[in-house]
Amino acid sequence: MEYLLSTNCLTKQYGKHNAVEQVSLHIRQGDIYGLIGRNGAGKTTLLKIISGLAAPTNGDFSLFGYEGKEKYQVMHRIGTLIEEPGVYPNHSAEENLKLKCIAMGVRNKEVVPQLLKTVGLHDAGKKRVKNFSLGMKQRLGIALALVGEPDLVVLDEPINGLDPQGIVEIRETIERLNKERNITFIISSHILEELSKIATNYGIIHNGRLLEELTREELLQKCSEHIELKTDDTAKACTVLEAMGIHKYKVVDKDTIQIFEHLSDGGEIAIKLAENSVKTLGISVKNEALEDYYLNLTGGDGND
Amino acid sequence: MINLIRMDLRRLVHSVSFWIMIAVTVALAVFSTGMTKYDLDLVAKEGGLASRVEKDVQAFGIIVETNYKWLDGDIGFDELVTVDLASNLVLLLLVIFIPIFANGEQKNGFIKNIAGQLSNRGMLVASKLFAAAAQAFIILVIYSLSVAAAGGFYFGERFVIGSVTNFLFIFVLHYLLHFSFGAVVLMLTIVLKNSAFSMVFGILCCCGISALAYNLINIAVRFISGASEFDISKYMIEMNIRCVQGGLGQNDLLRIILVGLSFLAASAIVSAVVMQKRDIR
Repeated sequence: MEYLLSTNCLTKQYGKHNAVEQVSLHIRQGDIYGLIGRNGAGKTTLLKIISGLAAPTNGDFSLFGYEGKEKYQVMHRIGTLIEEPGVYPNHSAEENLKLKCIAMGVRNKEVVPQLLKTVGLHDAGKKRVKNFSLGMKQRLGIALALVGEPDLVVLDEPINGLDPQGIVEIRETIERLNKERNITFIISSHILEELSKIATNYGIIHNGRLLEELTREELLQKCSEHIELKTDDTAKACTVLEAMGIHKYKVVDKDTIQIFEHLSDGGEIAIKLAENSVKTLGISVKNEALEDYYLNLTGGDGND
Repeated sequence: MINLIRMDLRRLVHSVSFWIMIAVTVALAVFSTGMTKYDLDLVAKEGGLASRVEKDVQAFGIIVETNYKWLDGDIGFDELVTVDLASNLVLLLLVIFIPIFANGEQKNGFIKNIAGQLSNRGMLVASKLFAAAAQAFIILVIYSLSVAAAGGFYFGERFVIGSVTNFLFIFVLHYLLHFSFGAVVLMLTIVLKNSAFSMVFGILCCCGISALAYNLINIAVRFISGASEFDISKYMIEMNIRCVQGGLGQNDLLRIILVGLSFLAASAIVSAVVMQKRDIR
């Protein structure tokens, strides 16, 4: 499969500490890739490497099909917002955007007003950025990342400091740009529920290592409400479930089945299993939130 | 590359520090010319006292020497500007304003918006050097024009243009050396990611404090190699600036040009390599 971005065992070492270790992630055109990890997990370092701001100690990555030194010829197709927005505090939002436009060779004068409108800063006028709220600065950072119509936009914690309304606006903006312009996004965040509303794919990073990559569907399946059935004979239990018209289930291990439909029919399932001489060791409705899933995956240890 | 230069020039003229720099340059030119006038008046009034006092305090610092031939004859614009430029007075402005401008992008993180998208980050250094060259040129031109205006005001009809060719020749040499020293300060700012140290370094050099270090090096080299004529200060930019006042021999001229170009090239290369190799934070 052709990936827009794929990393191959990326490692970044600071002294003896591996900030990123053997990370291999895969992003296709049009994905909104959510990079999940707690503070210090290595998200920002990984994004800096992808954005060309930091060099990996080991490993490499391919971008738009280019590898090695050739990929630096297409780095201009990436827009970035890494950590807090880098802006000139004594300039207006418009002037900051103009400077980036000049640096990127963007001559169209309509671009700046369009970008300001896109991120909801068209009313900011001549107000200096140093007088902006955190949310306004964040929006300006996103607008700066969008200068030059990039094909890949890397956003590191883009909703930090935004109020609920701002979060919704940014989410809608990202979704719109993704759908209308087919822009691929990599978004890191530790606000998992918010990320789960827009991401199409996920990468879970912990202590510098990529623990898992999964699609939205896979994650929903793992996190959705389901009946967890413990039984002594899963094969026979499956036959009983099929006979009951239950087809959405998954055998997790030798004595556990997860059932994703007929969630209110737990009692009836237990009776049918008993009638067919299948012992029910336990039956309960479970609902694992994304946060729970993440905590279970990472072991749930707190920030060091 | 051209785009980056355009961006830096736009940022330069839109920055508050640029206009402060111009205002200070004009003020300094007017002040320095005024002090020359005051000095000449004092000597005319009290004889040799003023010149004797000045010579007593010529250890360190920025000292604009007054030519006492100006007491009676014409005061040439070319001579007046040359004396000021040779005093490191204008260099002092450069070592303050170049780091302020160059470090802005690093300090506020704007560099993160553009550095990753460049195939070669050395271009960032090239555009900063171009901006520093523009700053040096603007400061020197504005200083010269301000001295011309102030000279006309203070000295009236005694103030004459002098030799234009001589002035342009000296101006070009000073521009090379001033820009070259600016490049050194720019390099320190980029390497250390800090404008304070490079400013202090530049100011101390302007004030001649670096002569102490050069003397120690001279003593060490003379002791080790026995080369009694060796003088490292001949090969340092700020010391060469003090020499550029006209009446230069071929050897001096060649040395001045080589010193200027060497420091400029070395600073550009070191800055570009550091910028290319180092992660942007």
